[in-house]
Amino acid sequence: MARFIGKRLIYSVLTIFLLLTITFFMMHLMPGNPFATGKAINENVMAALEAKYGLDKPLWQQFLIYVSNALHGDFGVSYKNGRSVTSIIAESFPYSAELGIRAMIFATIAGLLLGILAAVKRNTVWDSGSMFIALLGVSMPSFIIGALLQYFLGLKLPELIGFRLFPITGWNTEMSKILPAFALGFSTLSVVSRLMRTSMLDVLNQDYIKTAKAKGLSQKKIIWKHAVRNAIMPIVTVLGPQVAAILTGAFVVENIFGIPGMGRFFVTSIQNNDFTLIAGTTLFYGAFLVIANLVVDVLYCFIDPRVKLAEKEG
Amino acid sequence: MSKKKELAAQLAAQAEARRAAAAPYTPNAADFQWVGPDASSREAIARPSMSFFQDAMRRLFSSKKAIVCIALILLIVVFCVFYPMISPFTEQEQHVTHSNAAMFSVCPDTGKMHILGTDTLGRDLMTRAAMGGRLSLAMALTAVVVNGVIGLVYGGVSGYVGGWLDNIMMRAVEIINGIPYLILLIVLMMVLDTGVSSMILAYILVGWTGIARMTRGQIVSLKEQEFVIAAKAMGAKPRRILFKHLIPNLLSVIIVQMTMAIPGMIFNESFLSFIGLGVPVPASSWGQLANDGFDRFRLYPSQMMIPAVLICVTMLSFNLLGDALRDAFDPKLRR
Repeated sequence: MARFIGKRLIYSVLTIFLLLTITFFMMHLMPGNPFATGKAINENVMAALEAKYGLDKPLWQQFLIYVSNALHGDFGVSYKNGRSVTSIIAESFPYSAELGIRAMIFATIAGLLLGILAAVKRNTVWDSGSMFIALLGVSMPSFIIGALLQYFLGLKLPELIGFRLFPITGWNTEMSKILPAFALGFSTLSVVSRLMRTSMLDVLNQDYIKTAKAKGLSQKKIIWKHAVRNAIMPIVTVLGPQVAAILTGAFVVENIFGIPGMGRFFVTSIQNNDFTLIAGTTLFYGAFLVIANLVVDVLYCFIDPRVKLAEKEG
Repeated sequence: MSKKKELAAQLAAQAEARRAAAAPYTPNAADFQWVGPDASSREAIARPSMSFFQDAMRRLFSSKKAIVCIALILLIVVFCVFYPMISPFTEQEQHVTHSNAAMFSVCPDTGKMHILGTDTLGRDLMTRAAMGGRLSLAMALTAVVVNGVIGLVYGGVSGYVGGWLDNIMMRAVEIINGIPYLILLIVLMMVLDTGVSSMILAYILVGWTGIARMTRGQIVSLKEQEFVIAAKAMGAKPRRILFKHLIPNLLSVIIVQMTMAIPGMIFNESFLSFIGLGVPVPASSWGQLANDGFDRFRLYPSQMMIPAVLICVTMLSFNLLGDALRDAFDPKLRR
């Protein structure tokens, strides 16, 4: 197991380094000049600006400085508003994290329940109903779900019931956090419920379920004690990639609902050509996801005894 | 005396006849005639002989779900390809006096009907939706096909050759895969010039790893199967094994994977358009239309709903078709 974790660790470091290289060269290949504001700039001023941001040094030196700074958590200064990228991330990330965690919790729990329901009541209305919901989730981009929720529940529902249940935008009351989390988590919900259904069906066909039935255990015990606990394993493996889906999905959901999170900064920095901010946030996102994947892999190693066994035999 | 002799001869003849009658009969083919069922019809093969693909297609077309999906996809494709040809409006044509028009409103400039209304600049939404569909679908299809070919070759070489080459090639894929797909796509889109071709290029640069991994996994497991070993033992050349045994067995998995990748590509396009990295402005794509519509969603919901419905129906159809194809190709379900 130590070997497995070590191997994964080396990959993660390599991936982050690759990401660093890509973002650095991206910043230098990017068309346009960050100091071009439309006004004519004196050559001396331009040289001074370039010296200030270290853009006059040779490329390899810039790269080394960039890497060492990034390793110290310093992603440079935003070209547009002069604040340090690190402080912008530190300020906006908590919002994104809260939204993401809410979406993740909602998606996992609701997805698991839907998947279990579909598998236990196989080939009934319950099954096709929950699988239809799951199919909607994979077929509707989050911004469409978000916009529809905003329109129907935020705008049309108050006209119907006379008071506002869900605020249209913002991130201050509990009620305002429901719609964004739902919109963001819906696609993950579908992935989890579809996988859970297949996994449950697989487990329900196993011999030990028959044994449990033959012993005379109640249906409830069989499902919750024997089937679900075993079926839940594969779900853990998709949680890593799903963190990525939720983080990138947050770009649009935060924009739609006006949440002051990192996704919104990312999108506005793209529109403003704010290279350092783009590179800093990309790097942060990338590193975050690589680490999330690593954690999920290691976690899987601990919860599934069969992985350890396979390592020993192999 | 003579009477006695006569009697004896008579008796002898009788005995001879009796013996002849009792002697076993030796069968003679000419004496027999076939009266039962026709031999060739008894052994005739009732079902038409069909290859794996014919069988899979038969199963695909016997599923109602698949037929509905194929019909929906065809309908959308026909609409996107042919509607702009018969439409009274062009994609860029503006009727400023008739902007944000409702559905089925008659244009005061031309006297023709805007079936789905117009956008803020007075452009016909139905024509734009069809043109946007052309672009979105063409981009998705191109990207998926090119991804499929690259992935197939890369994964095939890696899996077939094996050894250290496989090790290096797969490690590279793993590292690329470590970076989240959409973030890599965004970064590439920022570096490349805006435009349709660079969008496709960006999709291709990040999208081939999935099929490469899948191909490699399939090839590695197929290589160990009995029929491949048998072919090898009978002296089949590697080329024959590759083209006769490995690739046909692989193809079904790849086709399913590619069908499932199309909705993903449509999603990527609309996502990038939504955050402002989509196709350049005068052109329309479904994502671009949805993005434009979103700005005016509260006042004119239909402007967002039309592209949204098109995106969702297309993604849903391809997803369901992928499911149906997977079932159709699954040899375990073959009856």
